[in-house]
Amino acid sequence: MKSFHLKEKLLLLRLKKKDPEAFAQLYDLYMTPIYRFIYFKVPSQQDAEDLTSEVFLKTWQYATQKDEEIENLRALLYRMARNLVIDFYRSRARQDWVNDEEAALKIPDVRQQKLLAQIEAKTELESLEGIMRQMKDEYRELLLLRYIEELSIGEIADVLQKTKGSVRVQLHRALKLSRELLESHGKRSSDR
Amino acid sequence: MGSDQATVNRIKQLKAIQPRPEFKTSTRDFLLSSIAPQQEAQTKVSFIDYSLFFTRMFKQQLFEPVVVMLLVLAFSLGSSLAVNAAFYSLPGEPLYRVKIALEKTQLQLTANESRQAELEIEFAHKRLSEFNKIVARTDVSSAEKKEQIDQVVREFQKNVGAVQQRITKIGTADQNINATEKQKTLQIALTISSKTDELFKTFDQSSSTLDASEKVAVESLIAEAVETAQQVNLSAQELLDESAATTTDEIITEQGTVEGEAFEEPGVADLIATSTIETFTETQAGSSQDVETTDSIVSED
Repeated sequence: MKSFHLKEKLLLLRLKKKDPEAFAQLYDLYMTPIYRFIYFKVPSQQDAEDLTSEVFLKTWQYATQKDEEIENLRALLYRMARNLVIDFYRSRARQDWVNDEEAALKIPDVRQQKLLAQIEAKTELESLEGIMRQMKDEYRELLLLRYIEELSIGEIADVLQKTKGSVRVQLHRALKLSRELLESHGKRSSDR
Repeated sequence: MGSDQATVNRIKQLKAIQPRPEFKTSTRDFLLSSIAPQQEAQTKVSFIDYSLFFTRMFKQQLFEPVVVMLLVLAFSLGSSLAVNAAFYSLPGEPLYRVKIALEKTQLQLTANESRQAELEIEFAHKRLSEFNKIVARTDVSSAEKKEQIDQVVREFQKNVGAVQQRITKIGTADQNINATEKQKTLQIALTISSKTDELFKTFDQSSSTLDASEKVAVESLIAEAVETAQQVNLSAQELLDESAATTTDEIITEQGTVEGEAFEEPGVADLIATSTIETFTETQAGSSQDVETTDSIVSED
């Protein structure tokens, strides 16, 4: 873990000097996790791809133009992704507001429909994805960051700007909920 | 717990979700071309940048809690070892000053006058054992030995001198204190008296083991130290006698007022009685010795 941090810090040093190779390395290293992180937050794959690309562009601008010290590059990338997802929903809500006042609530509905379809899906991966989407965003991102991207509690607290204690508590709840959902899903599948 | 692990394992299966490979490649190209205009402003990472970077990293590591804890542990262990080493140090050694400073601190931290006097006597005892160690040393030259004895005797005198001052102080304060306090003071005076007695005897014996040349060099110093110790003993004895007189008067007064009632507080009276008997026996032993010596001189003649 220590050598990983050192590698990341050296990468950041080169990034500050506007080294395109460092940027390419950063992309290769974090593109998949960031994509996956966004993927579970937005309704479509297309949105996830667009936002992922934007995250890297914004990170480049931030690293090369701002003089602020970056403590943790990985945490910065996730924070950037999170903020872009929030902006994405805000702008969508604004667009929909022009057409229909109720449309702002459309996204969860879309997700709900997609979820039902996914729960019925045949493959394990699809049903797991469905279960993840069934959970509230707060829990989902915690499970994702901890067990899929394997971030430490401290790093998660940094990304979500929460205390370590609250991250631990919420993670425990999220895990409990996911276990319950998985069990109920397993029961339903065996009943059929 | 087991089912938690099973849930985690199932969640981990979601790692299989990957971006499309063509998206990955095309976005990489797109991003690199987007940042291309800024490449002209690119600067190389210099040696200074690297050194600054590693210095910062080192500082961060240094202030990590684990490192700080280790440093604190090393410091406390080091200081306790130093204190321990200082405890066994002798005059002329670098840690001897630390030892003396620690003793002074201990005295400063003690509020009770009587306890301070006891401490001074304890320290004088330590000086005495240091003196014995120096006398027994064979690995140092006579000049060095003389210097070390000089230092230890001076420290001894300081300790004993301080005891003398404290006894005087206790004696003056003694006038207006209650019976319990008086008993306590008497006990201290007794202890001091016996200890100073012991001190100057040991000093006398140890100095007799010195070489003739060494003895000549430190003789006056030792004589002075012995004299100081004897003076302290005398002061303690005086204090005892004064207290004895006061207590006897008080007992008589008490007996006059409460006739027939047994004296139930044996402490003060017993102490004085014991002390007086001890002094008397010692004096008697001394006089019989003197008689024997005189007899032998006469018979020799």
